Parts: sequence; C-alpha cells; structure tokens
Amino acid sequence: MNATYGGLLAAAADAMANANRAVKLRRFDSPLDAAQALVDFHGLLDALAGHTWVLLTPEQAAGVRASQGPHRVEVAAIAMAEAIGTLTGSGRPNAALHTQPVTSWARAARCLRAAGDLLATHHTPGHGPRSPDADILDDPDVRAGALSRLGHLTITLLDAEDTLALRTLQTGLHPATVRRVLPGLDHVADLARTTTSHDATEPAAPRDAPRPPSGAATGLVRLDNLGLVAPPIRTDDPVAELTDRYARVRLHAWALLENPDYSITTLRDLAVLGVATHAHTAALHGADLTRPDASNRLLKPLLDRARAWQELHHTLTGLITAGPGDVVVREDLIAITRILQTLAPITPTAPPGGRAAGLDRPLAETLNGAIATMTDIARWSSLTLDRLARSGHVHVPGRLLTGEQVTDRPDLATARLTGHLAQAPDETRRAVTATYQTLRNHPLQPNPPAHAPDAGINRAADVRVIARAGPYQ
Amino acid sequence: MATWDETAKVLVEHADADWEGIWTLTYAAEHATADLGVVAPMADAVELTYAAMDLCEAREELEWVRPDLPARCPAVTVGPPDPVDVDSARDAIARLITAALARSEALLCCDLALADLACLTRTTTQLGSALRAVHGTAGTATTNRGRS
Repeated sequence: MNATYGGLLAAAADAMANANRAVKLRRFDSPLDAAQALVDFHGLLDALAGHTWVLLTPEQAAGVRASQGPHRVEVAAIAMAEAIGTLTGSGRPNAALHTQPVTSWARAARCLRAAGDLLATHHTPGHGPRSPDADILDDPDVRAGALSRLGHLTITLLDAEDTLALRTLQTGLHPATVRRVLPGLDHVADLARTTTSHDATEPAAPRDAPRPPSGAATGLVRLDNLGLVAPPIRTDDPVAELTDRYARVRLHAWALLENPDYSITTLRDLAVLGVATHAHTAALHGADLTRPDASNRLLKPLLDRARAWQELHHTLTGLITAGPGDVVVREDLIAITRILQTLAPITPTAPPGGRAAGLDRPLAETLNGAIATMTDIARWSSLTLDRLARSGHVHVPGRLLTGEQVTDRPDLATARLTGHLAQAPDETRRAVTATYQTLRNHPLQPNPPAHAPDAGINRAADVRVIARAGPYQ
Repeated sequence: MATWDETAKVLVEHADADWEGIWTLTYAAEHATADLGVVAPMADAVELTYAAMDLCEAREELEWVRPDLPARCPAVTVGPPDPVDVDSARDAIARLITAALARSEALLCCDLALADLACLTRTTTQLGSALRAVHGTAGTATTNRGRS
C-alpha cells in the first residue's frame, strides 16, 4: 500500500497514544528503558517542531512575523516550534535519530518525519513545484488546519510529561537529569492550545440542510490523500493499479506545461484515455452503450464527455509536431484500457432481465477520481497545445488546407500547392481550444457562464497554472 | 454516392505494393475509422478510437522514415460515414487495413535498410492491432496489444 500524508499522521497519532498509555499503566523495567523513553520523548518533540517548518516555510514564517494582521494559528505555531526548539536544541541529527526506534514515541516521530519527507517530494530544492499538488499548502486555511492538527498532537504528547517524569524518577534516574529534560512544558502546551483554535468547518447550517464541504475541509482531505509524487505502480491489485497509473498520467500531463515534449501524440493519447475513462465509467454505472439513443439522463454528461474527447482526438489527428510521444503515457494508456475492459466492460455482462451485480465501490471511487483527473488533464493539455501552437510547433499537411483557409495567406497557399507542412491555421487552434474548454469543468458540476471572455480561454485559471509551471522552455 | 465498400475496393485495387500504397491505404483507413467512431454507438466508438489511434501511429511510423509521403501520396478518404450500417463500414475498414498489411508484409521481404525494416515492423504491428480492434466485438478487442 502506498503511504499518504493522512495515513502517516494517523499512524503517528496512534503510536503516540500507545506510548502515553504504556507510560501511564506501568513502570519502566530499568533506568536504561527510562533514559531511552526520555530521549524518544524529546525526539518526538523535535519532530513536531520540525514538521511545523515543513507546513510553514521559512519565507512564510518571515511573512507572518512581519505581518500587521497575521493568522493567529500561524503565530502560535511559530512560537510553539521555537519554544520546542529552545528545549531540544539545534544539533542535527537529533539524538533520538541515532538509534532504531524502540518506543512508540520514536515510531511516532518516524511517521511524522516521513510525512514531512512525503510533502517535500512535491517540491524542488528551491521550493518550486514538482507536482500539481505542490500548491496544497499555499491556501492559508488549509495550512492553518494542518498546523492545528499538529497542535493537537503536541498537546497529546505533553499530557504525558508529568507521568513520564514520575516513571523515570521511579527507576532511579538523577532528578537533575529528569528536570533538565522535562522542565515543565506548560508554556508549550498553552501555545499548542492556541494553535488548535482553528476551526476548518463552516458555521452550522440549519438542521437537515445539506451543506457543501468548506474549502479548507476539502483542502485538508486533499492534503490527507497526498502520496509520494511518483509512487511505484502497484500491480497486485487492478483497482490500485488504476489509481496509480491515473496519478502518473496526471503528473506527466501537468509536467508538459513546464517541459513540453513537442508532441501531439501525447495529447492524442490523453484524448483516447478521456474517451475510455468516460465511456467505461458510464458503463460501470449501468449505461447501455450499445444503443445510440440509450443515454441515461444522469449519465448523459459522461457520455457527452466521451464524445467530446473523441472529437478532440479526431481533430488532433490532423495536426503534426516534431516530437515523439511520451512512452510512459502510452504505457499507462494501454494498461488502463486493458484493466477497464476487464473491470468495467462496455458491453453488458449480466443476462437480460437477470440480476445485475452490485456496484464495485472501490472501482467506482477510482473511476470518479479518474473523471476529475481527466478534467485537470483537459485544462493542462489545452494550455500545452496553445503554447505549442503559439510558438509555431504545430503544423498541418499543406494538402489538407481548404481554399477558405489559404485565402489571403500566401504562406498557406504555397504549402497547399507544394504539399509541404504549414503552421496550423488559427481557426483549427481555436476549435481545439474550444473543445478543451468544454472538458475543463467537472461533468457533474454546474456549467461555466455561457459568455466566456475569449474563445476557450479561462484567463484567470491559466495565469495561475502558467505561473506555477514556470517559464516556457 | 459510392458506398464505403465500393471506394475501399477501388483503393485496394489501385494502391501500389510499395510505401506509397501502404500510406494511402493506412490514411484512408485511419480517417474512415475516426469518422465512423463519431457516428457509431459509444460501445463501438471506444474500440474504433483505439483503432484510429493505432492507424495514426502506423501512418506516422511511415512518415518518420519517408517524410515526403504526405506530399507525394494521394490522400484519399472514403467519404462521409453511414451510421445505419456500422458492420459493413467495419468490413470496409478491415478491407483497407488488410490490404495495407498485405503490402507491408510483402515489402518486409524486400531488400531494406535497417531503418526501413524497423519502421515496417512497427507499422505492421500497429496495423495488426488496429485490425483486431476493428474486427473485435465491442469492448473486448485488444487494442495495441501487439506492442505491449
């Protein structure tokens, strides 16, 4: 199973609770065990402080300190981390890291440090993005929510301070040693309580009224589901393999923004994946795809999407670029279509009038996630193609140009006569962009305004994506 | 207006047994597959999209070693699709692909440079994969499995 940030945090919390319970219920067997527990307790404190600096970069901390109206959770978190740092010292690596984890506190520290490392894989050493999820902690509310959870963990740990002091003294450790290591950390606990004051939920809605999840809560869920930026593909379970391969395709589609492969083949493969994903998802939910007029009202958006991706593939087939396709995307496309044909066949397998099998919920969840993934991919592919076309890398065969297209365009007319390649006409580019535009919003969300500012271009969103992707190489 | 089957027969009959003939047949099959996919029921459309992808790959393989092919060869299509008779349209496409495959396999036995040999190998694989997708029952064909 691939680790996620939320999973590691939960494992850290479990281990911490186990250690607290153990120290409360029984004495240490020897002074050595007591000393090890003290070291690991400090190691976990150090890991908590270190994780604060993972959630809050030094630049952001400097901004908080300089701000006239800083977020009080962030102020408290910084003060908490600094107070812990004063106690645990700045020596690296921490003394607790010199040995294999023995106590559950050490295991909790390891999980917490692993969670920090997992987040770090989404950034370059210069804190640039390495994945489309690198911006997850840019949202102040999500950051405050994550810091708040760290505060809860700190409070839980510090609850055991007095008991730990008692147990270590019972083994005969020198009181001065115990006092030096556990000097009374109430001030840190107070700061941690302030850190936990963040509430990620919206004000209470009227009873029985459905309430959409808040942005911060959604962001925290996204943070918890975050895995390694390039996890290994699990091939032992087809649903897990689907999840991993979609994640890898998503990463590659995003990476094309910064490192274009100058290939229309990759974009075509992504379009084929769009067709397969939407058609098989509709089939999984019971759509009969063998009849042209059998479109279920609820599933119609999925089938419309499949048709739009198909149309896009058709249009992209007429375009030519210099680069070969991305072999990883092609490999994943082949593997995904093979799995989909097995798990969610397009032709109905149940006999007519027979009892259909129940919905495979893990598969349905994965495919619903795949629909969202394809929405992201449409947005990025649109930008990728637009940038390739604007920089003159997309061509069409001259012989396929129509008379209308070559009118008043001597370069296109020449290509038409000689049969050489010509740059893709603007109307072709606009048609492709317009198709992408219909695919850039989730099929089960409200449609965008009818009057877009320009044909197929969401400028605000594009500016954000381009800014994150960096300069065009 | 000529039916797809009639046009396909003419193309198969007149296409030469050389690079140009393979390109023309592949081009016609590719466009016919993509056009049919747009009007066919989604169950067929998915398979036809896979086939169109394979045919596009096959054509690009040819153009990789013979960049002048698009300029020299007649880019013929079989006309607008008839959504009523998907099966006969599939047969027409299969006829085009089979003819391209036959020419490709015949060319493989000629005296070829290594680059040409590699190109024809990949092209033949893609054409075979596309043929299976076009022939296969919807949802069960094995797209592009020849390369995996």
